Amino acid sequence: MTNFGARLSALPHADRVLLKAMIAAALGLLGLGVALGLMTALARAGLIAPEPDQGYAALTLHSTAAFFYWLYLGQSALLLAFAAADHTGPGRIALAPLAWFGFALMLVGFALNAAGTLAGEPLLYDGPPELATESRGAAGIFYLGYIALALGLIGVASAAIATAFAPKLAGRIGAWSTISFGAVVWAGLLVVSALAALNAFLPAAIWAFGGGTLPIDHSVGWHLLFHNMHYLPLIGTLLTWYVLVGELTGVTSLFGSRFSKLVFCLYLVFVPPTSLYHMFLEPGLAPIVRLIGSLLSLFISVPTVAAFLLLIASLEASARARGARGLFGWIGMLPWRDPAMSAIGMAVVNLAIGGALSFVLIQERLAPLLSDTFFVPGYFHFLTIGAVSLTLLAAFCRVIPALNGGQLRLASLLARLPYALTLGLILFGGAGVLAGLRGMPRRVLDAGYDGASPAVWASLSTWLGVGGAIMTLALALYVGTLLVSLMPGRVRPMPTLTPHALSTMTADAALSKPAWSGPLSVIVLVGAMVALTIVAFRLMQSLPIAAIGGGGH
Amino acid sequence: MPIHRPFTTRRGFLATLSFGAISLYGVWESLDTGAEPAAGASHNGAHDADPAPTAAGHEGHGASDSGTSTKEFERLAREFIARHARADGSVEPLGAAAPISSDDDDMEHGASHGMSHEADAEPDGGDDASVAIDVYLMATQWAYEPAVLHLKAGQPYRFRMMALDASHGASIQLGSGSHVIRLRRGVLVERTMRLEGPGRYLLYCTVYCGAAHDRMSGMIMVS
Ligand code: HEM
Ligand SMILES: [Cu+2]
Repeated sequence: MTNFGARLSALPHADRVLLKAMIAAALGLLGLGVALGLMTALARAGLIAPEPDQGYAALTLHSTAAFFYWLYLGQSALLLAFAAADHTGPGRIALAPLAWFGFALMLVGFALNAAGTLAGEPLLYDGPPELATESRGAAGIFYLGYIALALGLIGVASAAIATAFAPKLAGRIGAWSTISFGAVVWAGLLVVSALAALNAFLPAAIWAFGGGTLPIDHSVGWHLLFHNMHYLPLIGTLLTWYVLVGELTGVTSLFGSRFSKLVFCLYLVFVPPTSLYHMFLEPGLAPIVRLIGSLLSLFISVPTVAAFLLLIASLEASARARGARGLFGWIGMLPWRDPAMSAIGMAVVNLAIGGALSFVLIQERLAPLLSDTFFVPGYFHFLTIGAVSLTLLAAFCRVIPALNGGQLRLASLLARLPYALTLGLILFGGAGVLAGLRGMPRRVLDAGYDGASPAVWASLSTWLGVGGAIMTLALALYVGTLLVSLMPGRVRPMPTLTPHALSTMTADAALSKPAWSGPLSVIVLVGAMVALTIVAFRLMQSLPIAAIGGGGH
Repeated sequence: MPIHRPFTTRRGFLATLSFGAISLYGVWESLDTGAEPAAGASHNGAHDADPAPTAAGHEGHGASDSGTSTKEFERLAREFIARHARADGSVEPLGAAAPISSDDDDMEHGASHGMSHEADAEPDGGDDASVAIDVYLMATQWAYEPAVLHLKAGQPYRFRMMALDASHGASIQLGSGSHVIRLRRGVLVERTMRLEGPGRYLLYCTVYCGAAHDRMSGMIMVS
């Protein structure tokens, strides 16, 4: 592809300022979120003992800053960058004032979330109104934060959609490229999640400010939102891999853009209806709903695996056509010293780990073993940090120098951080998943229960702390280095781009070589899911408890 | 001039492979059928490797929304506690077997809890849920009532649980893993369960419920 980075540099000054401001804010919130995450992990490990109010406020703001604001602001910036710099010709962000306004609203949103949390009872990030009856006003401010975030997001996503449409409407292009198409789908899903946020928090806000009754179905609205929140960044992740692989190696899908577009569309079909599985433990859910929920959840893997296979097969085939040998020789031909490459490489690994674990959790019969335990944060940090955040960071490693017309600071350090982060995650997530299997609850500051809890909870919590500290260090270095690279006046001229290692093959020539890495990965992944599921089942069945059929219903 | 493509680089192959993880459903099914026929069948060995149905598989009736209000539930639970309290404040439910096919809350009154049936009943005497003994559990910020329960190993109990003020959990730590139960405010949750082995099992809250959430616990002593 003709260089995405070069086209980003060619955006009008004002557009580049907007993108840089968004990235800086996103990184700042990631930094804050991570610091609070460390605090929570250290409390778990018994190294610090915050007062309950402080501890739960930290947990609340950890998740809002990192999960909502970092991920949404980061996605917003990248989405706008993709839409504006995709096509040849003078790209620019359409409806830029709306994008600025949306961005500002999102920042206001965080301020409100923080103020509400600090002023009242910490509610954790789902903010159940039933816990806020004593501090309704503060809760209302907290809910307003999410509403501002949602409205801001709709503004930014609309600007991105308008940006993608602009060259079409001007007659400069006929059909969208895969990237623009993917960006529009992504923007559409962001709007869906914004609507889900409004659906969850408007009734709560109205109640908090004195109108209406206590919303009793808040948890349902929250689950819908949370579900969209954590699957939706997958489409952005896959699209980013697609763009970055093109940038780094010159290889884009060899299977034609229609196929890629179809894959992106599958997300629209599968993400919203699969929300059900978050409700398995809700009392009163009909068995058939549980079954359908489990089945549908499996389908979420389809577009993700498909996009992965497209990329891997294209890469492997291209590399083979250029002489790669052995089963995995092609991997060695990738530009691993580029920070973006090592980051997306590790993101693939983390997505596989997190994905395999999440497929244990979606089996509704395992819900009584695993729901509400530390298994949940254990696996989802692989996805939110290891896959999604790392992918956003990989993209920023390319986008920041392009916007600044300069060079990334400490690029060789950045190229190594993904390995450290992954190591930390494996300790944190591994300990968390094991503790979860043994029943350690999520969302407590101290799981000691005055000595009544199993000793293994405490020892695994120590590993949580160790892993958490490594993750925090790696992410703090990312945030610091990238923020420094963003600062004006600190940059050197952009070096010549990494030469495209693998390009110049025609699709047909490349595809005449077999490509086994994709199929093998899928076999390994499914094997891991099966094994984990069976292990969890065995564990559950070994517990000295039996439910007895019967009962009136 | 078409070039031969090996199947690993064909669209159809990749598209088909994308559905690979769906095969997990087959595993779920096979685990399912492994457990299903055992429902109500031999259950004698408490720890046998037999895929006996655990609580997970059979909670279709998890919530019995028979319209019991929090007030009504609290009244029943207090009656239960008063009736079965021991001197140290813990509770040991005896007798008053409630046929659980009946949903009638009021049958409590009639049952004069003749403890004689229970006293030396064969503990592993079968899976007949109708001999289940009722256990009431109230969850509030931040305690359970009763906080300490004495139960008999192998005896079926019908747990009737409700969170009264906010949502809570009532999870039981069983050694190598836990049995997680979620209680939504004001919803009566019924589970008929049997604890198979003697031990002290931690009862703890797994749904965040405010400042002292991590203090919210109780104890189930099984002998
Ligand atoms: C790198 C350092 C990080 C550390 C050490 C860390 C640690 C933790 C810990 C200990 C918890 C508490 C789990 C519990 O008790 O339920 C937690 C929760 C959570 N974390 Fe992180 N985290 C980190 C980064 C992130 C990032 C980058 C994200 C999102 C992008 C994230 C999203 C969340 C969410 C959504 C929760 C759930 C909170 C809840 O259930 O209320 N974390 N984290
Ligand atoms: Cu509680």
